[in-house]
Amino acid sequence: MVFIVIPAFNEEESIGRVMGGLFEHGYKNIIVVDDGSTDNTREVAGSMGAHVVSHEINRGQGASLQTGNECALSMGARLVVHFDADGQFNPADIKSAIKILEEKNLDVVLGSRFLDGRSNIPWTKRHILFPLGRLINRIITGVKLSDAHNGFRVLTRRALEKLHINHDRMAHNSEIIKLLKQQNLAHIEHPVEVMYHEYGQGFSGGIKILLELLRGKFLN
Amino acid sequence: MKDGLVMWLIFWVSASFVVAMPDFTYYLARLVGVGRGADLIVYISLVILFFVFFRLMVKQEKLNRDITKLTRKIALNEKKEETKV
Repeated sequence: MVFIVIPAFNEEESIGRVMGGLFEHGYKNIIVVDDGSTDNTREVAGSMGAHVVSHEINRGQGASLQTGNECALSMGARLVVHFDADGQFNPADIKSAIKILEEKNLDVVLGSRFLDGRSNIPWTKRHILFPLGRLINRIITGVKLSDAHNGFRVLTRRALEKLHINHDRMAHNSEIIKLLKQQNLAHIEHPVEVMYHEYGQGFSGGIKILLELLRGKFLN
Repeated sequence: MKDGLVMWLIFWVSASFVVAMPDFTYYLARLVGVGRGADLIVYISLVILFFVFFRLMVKQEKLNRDITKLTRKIALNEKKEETKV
């Protein structure tokens, strides 16, 4: 069974549309992790037929993904797809990602917005922020990727059992990549489309991620 | 309990000693190569403050992770209860 895990914080406006798109493409098992939303995210997702898991208080995207992963595992998921709640991903990309995962017998497929020309990435992001992010991530994780922070992933059950996301907020992207390497999980990048409705994380977001990673280093 | 009493005694006795005989800090300062007693106290305070601040930051991060664990457990349990009914 394929489970789609969607972390959502105050996404009542877009969650319905995102779920509709996924249903259209035949994905029926959707887990929405409501991360302490103060709007009707929970009700909207529940009424549309998602399995809703609700954090009592807001814990961040990394924390939500880990909750979603554990929920999917307990429901017998064979494959889990990480997907965004704000409608920036294209559900059509899931099928080809799963296909390549199965053909090549991989553990994880990571989305990348740079492998084809479909994504309309803002200029400053494409030419300044992302090259910098790539370099820093390469230094931190030791893995060379074309897209350092992409929320689109397909993971096998085996991979999920080995990955535990400890970084609650936005550093989980780097953390997952680092864990992939440590646990020797076979992975590949796969082109996905990212639609920019808003700019998203800027330079200060990157600094925050670095600080989160640094603080994490002093734990455990 | 007894340990606590001893430590507080040492702390207050040395504090009163320094207040009563401020010149003593001067000898202490010369001993470790700092010019004045007051400077020595400022240096030591800075070191302690930095250390405490840093420890607090790390503790806070750990606390955050603990809260996340609890939140996750509650969320997953609630989901389980829901599917049972």
